[in-house]
Order: sequence, then structure tokens, then C-alpha cells
Amino acid sequence: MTTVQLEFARDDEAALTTVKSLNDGSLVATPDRFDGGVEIATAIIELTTVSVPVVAMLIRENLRTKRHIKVKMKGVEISGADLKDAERFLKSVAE
Amino acid sequence: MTALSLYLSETRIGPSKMPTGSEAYALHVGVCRSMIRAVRHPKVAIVYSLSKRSEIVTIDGEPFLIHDRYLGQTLNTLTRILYWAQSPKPGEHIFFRTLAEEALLRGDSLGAMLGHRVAADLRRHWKVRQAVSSRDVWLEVLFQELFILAHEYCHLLMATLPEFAASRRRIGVLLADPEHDPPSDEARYAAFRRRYPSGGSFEAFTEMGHATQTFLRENQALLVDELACDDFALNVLLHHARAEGHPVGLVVRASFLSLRNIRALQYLRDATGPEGARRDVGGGLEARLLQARQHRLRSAYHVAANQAGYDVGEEDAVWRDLADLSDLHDRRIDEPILFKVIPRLATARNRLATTKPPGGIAECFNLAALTGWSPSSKLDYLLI
Repeated sequence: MTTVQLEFARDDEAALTTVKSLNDGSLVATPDRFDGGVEIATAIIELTTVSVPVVAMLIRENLRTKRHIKVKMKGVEISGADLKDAERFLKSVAE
Repeated sequence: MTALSLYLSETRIGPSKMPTGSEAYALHVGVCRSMIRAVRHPKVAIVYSLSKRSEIVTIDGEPFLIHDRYLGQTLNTLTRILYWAQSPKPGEHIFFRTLAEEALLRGDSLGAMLGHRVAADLRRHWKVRQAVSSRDVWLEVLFQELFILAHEYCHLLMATLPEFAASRRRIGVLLADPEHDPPSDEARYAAFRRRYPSGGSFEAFTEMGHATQTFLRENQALLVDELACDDFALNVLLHHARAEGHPVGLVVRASFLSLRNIRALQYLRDATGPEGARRDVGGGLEARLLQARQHRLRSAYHVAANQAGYDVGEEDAVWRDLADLSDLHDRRIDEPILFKVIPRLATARNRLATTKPPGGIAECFNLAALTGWSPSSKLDYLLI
């Protein structure tokens, strides 16, 4: 099972709705950290043939509209270069 | 796999071999719980992870306090450098190693390799006394961790108890008020120049004050809750310290150091990754918020100390000691990070950037495995 960690703003209703629509194995958590900063939500999403295009679309949309989005695996950020073609990247790590 | 186990395993990298001693951390948490007579105690998960982050996290409506022992170890190391490093080199070894770890977490494999390379060269200089060799220093490290735990508890209490949240926010609003330190205050400038005779002009001091006020105004929403929880943690620790017979200076220093040390970590975080090269040194949002919190919390020390039963005057030596501690932290921690370590990474990166293409997630995971971490394993944790 390959998963990806999506981090978005806690008040990003569109992102939250999209993530919650993925019923298979996704988890949404809301962390508060001592170092503060923007309030975020974190979704852990299993990469499947169903979830990959949905997650890729969410990443593209948030990047396009400059809404907070970070994509991580085991806490390690995925670079902007890889996210330029998010669907291709997600398919490559899901294999 | 439980939801907590999934969250921890998928958001953090644990070590190849778990260090021993988690029982001591169960004691930390027990101490914190006994201090805080709260309606609701979350389950506590003690981890050891490359992230070096403690947090309160709500998963499926259930709150968990995640206490990261590697954060505690890092605070311990920074405090040892602060008090006992005989030369700059021991600190530089740690700063470059930490920079390498943060670079890896930002997906910056080049920054990570460069940081580890320099840290390896400096490894032979790492000979600094252990914190437990001095009871006072060991207690200061313990109380830094307790401050962070108590701060996190407060966030949880605010999320579940509306009246508590409202009363805490009133304190947070007072502490975050930008009008507390008027930029053009000549008495404050005079005090500043007495301490720093080569400090800048009144105009430069005023300009800095205006910039601080602007930052406070623009980030009120973020600061109010954080200061509310910092004040809560301060009060809880003061009452605990008084009951245990510890001096007031212990809590004042520990609360100050926890914010300053976390800010130092944030400087290193901000210097890595794709945005790091473009960002002004020390100018990231989280670092500036931590600076504002550390500065504004000083307003609470005197009243909180006396409310806890300490008899501390406004001219007490504990406040002069705090100013000395701040200067020492500048010299031993902040300045080396900002003016030596980060620029050296930038220089090395510029020299190599044209010959090395950016690495991907696989390269970062390989680096993690080479340096004692285990990205492929499930994260171990102790649940209390």
C-alpha cells in the first residue's frame, strides 16, 4: 500500500470535501504544533486507480489558485518540480 | 492498523534502531498531567522521529498528544551547546547535522548531502558535557519539554472547553496587543543603548519597532491563541516549580529557551528546500511568530511569578539574568546559524547546482536510511 500525505489549510472546504469523498482508506487529521503557523489539515490517502486522478486534480487546483498545499511522503516534502505533473508523479510512486 | 498508527507511520520517519529510555518520557507526561487538572486528558503517544515535532492532533474526533523524544534530545543538545561549548565547532557540527535533517524533510537531497558532509568533518569536535552532569541544566531541559507539553495541552483544552477558550483568548489578546511597546519610546531606547552601547540610532530602533508593530497587527489571529497557550504553560510550570521548591529563574529561563531553541530550529528549516534559497535569512513566518511570542511573553513573567507565590520585584536579578541569557543564545546559537551555517550552505549549493540535478523522494529516503533512519518501517510508539 502506497500512501501520500496532503497538507492543506484547515478552512479549505473544497480540499476537505474532495478528500472525504475518497472513502477508501483516507484519514483526515488536524494537528496543532508548538511552532504555530498556518492552521492545517493533513490527509493520508492511499494511492489507487480511483484516488490518483482525484488527488492530482486537487493538487493542480490548489497550485493554480495559490491555496496552501503540500504533498509529503512519510513527512518528506515532494518538490514543486515533481508536482508539475502531479498525476504522473503519483502513478510512479504508486507502482 | 489503528488510525493513530497509520497517521504516525505515514507522517514521520523513525530510527533504524529505537534509542532506549522511553520510560523517562512516560514520567514527563505523568508530571504534566498532575500539573494540569483538566476535564479531558488525551492519550499520549511518545515517538522518536526525524521530524522533531510535538503536536496535538485530532484524528476521527479523538485527540492525541504526540511527544517527540528527538525534539527533546535536540533541545537538550542545544542547551548543552549554549552553556558548555568551549569553541564554535561543536555547535557547528550539530547545526549542520540538523540542517541536513531539515533539508531531507523538505525533499532537498542536495542540501541534506552538503549538510551531512560538513557535519561529518566537524564530528571530532563534538565533546560537550552531558546535561545530566548538572542538575540545574538537566532541570532546564526538562522544563523546556514540559513547557511545550503544557502549551499543547492548552490548545486541546481550548478546542474542547468554550469558556476556557474565551478566557484564554482574553489573555492572548492582551499579550498580542501591538500598542504595548510604542516604537518611539525614548526610555526603552535608552535602556537598549545602556545594554548595547554600539546599538543603532534612535531612528533605526524606531523603524524596527514599527516593523514589529506591523507584524503583530497583521498576524493577530495566529498570535492570540499561541500566546494564550504560552501564558497557560508559563503559569502551570510556575505553580509546579513553586510546589517542588524550584527557583523562579528555572521556569523563566526554560520557557524563554524553549521558544528561542524552537526558533533556532525554524531558522534551519526555513533555509532548506526550494523556497529556502529565496527567503530572507531568519525571515520566515513561523520564525517571526516565535520571536514575537518570546518577546511578548516577557510581559507576563512578573505577574505570573507573583501569582504563583514567588516574591519577585521588577528589578530582581532574574530579569537581568534573562537578558544575559538572551545575549548568550544570540552568540552561541542564533548568530552561528544565521551568519555562518546558512550562508555556507547557500555558497556550497550555488557552486554545485549547475552540475547536480534535483533528487527526488527516493533519493531522500536513501539518504535517510544511510544516516540511521528507516523510512520503510512502521513507526514505533509508546501509547500512554
